[in-house]
Amino acid sequence: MSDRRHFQPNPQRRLPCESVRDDLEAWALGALEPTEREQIDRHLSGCSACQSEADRWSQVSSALPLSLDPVAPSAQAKHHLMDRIAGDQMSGVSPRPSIAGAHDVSPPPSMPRRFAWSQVLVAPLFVALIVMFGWTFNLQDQVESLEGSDLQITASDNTMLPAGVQTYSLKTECQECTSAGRLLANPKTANALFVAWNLDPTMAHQVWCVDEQGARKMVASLQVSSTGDVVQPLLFEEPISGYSQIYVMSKDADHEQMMEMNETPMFTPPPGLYEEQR
Amino acid sequence: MRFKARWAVRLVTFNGDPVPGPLKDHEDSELVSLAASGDARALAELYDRYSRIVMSFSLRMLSDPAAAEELTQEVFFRAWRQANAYNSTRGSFATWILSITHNMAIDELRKRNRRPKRADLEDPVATLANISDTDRSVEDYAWLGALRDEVRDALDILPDAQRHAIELAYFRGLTQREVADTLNEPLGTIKTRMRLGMRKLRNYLEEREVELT
Repeated sequence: MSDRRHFQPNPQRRLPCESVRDDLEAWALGALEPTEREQIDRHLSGCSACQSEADRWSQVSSALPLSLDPVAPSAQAKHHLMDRIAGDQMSGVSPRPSIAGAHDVSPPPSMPRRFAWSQVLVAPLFVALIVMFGWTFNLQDQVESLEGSDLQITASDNTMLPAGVQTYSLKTECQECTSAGRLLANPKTANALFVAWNLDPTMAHQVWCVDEQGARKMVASLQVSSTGDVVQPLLFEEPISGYSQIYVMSKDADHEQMMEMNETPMFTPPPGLYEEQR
Repeated sequence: MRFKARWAVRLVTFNGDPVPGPLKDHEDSELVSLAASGDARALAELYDRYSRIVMSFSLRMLSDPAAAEELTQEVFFRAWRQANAYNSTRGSFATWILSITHNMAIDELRKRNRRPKRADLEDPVATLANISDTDRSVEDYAWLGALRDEVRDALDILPDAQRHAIELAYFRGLTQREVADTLNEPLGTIKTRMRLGMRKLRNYLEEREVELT
């Protein structure tokens, strides 16, 4: 029934090119026995001509999945992935000791975070989004009631915030920086909306928190636009009031900086954000 | 004192859609280079472009939506970690990411030791018909739809026996010997079917200058 059923290739034997090329179709399909594949791989690593031919067969086999109708992963899947990547980026990076203390920075374990997102906190997040969007549309109504493109608001507009929602402001020690942001949240809940401007779009930005025991956890990776703006719902693992510190860590290959969020009793426009009307 | 409400205008236009940026215009190879340099946004853009293909491929191989989604994440996380290893002269990013998907799916299948009992009884066309994308935005990817038509046309020119052997090997992770056992055919026959089928596919795709990206 099988012409090579008992054939046991010697993995140390180097195959001639002709023999390798006879098997490249099966190699590209992943249909070779492990020992056969090892032999082919060893040959390819030392033979650029056969490697080039193998690459072409790989392109043929990789076209096969394109015959399938696309299926979109869930929206949460991308969040999980980007959180893992953010944690990967931050691993091995220590915040400034003067600000962050002596605690090691380590990303939270992926499974508990994944569990929290998908199993427990979906409902609160949904409620929070409704509240946030409600607030947004309330704001929209008020803005649209103004005339034309010369929209005007005043410094008292924090009255539009739902009862219990507190504003936290980004604080940077950099005098020249124009970065500014607000975290809008009811401290009794774990949900928040983060809005920021003039962040450096070439840097990676993450929101981190420190609990009462001093443990640090990354909350989310911020999806910053090319112009440095971000509007993003955040979901903490516990109510905001349970944290001693919340901050934004920004880093690239050469720099890192931290911006703390402090409670803001009154809404005041960030420096340089607004243009005074004449 | 009155202020121009630039921030408010931006807030009310927020609708959860990805923020358009210059990365949308980058070639795949440029995005991989950016990802290799630590730019997570580049990886996110690649995810937006290819996660549907990877997900459908994973689902086809694992037949388990939860496992397929998990694999999709793992594939892109590996792409993130190994972006430096991508060599654009050896093939497109699509080829690379789908090769990663295939290898990881085969590993998963063999780890589970969960082979189909009678894969030959399954109608691949019916299986494919059960997979669909309800996300309307995928229709924006016209290039993907055109590619899908080309590959389906290429598969259609194959005799059923050749196409079936190829699909069992590639989508089920079976070796040539396992395909032969599954179909109760001589190993030499299966090898011949795969070789002839793959050569026809290659000729068809090359004649039409079909490229994965």
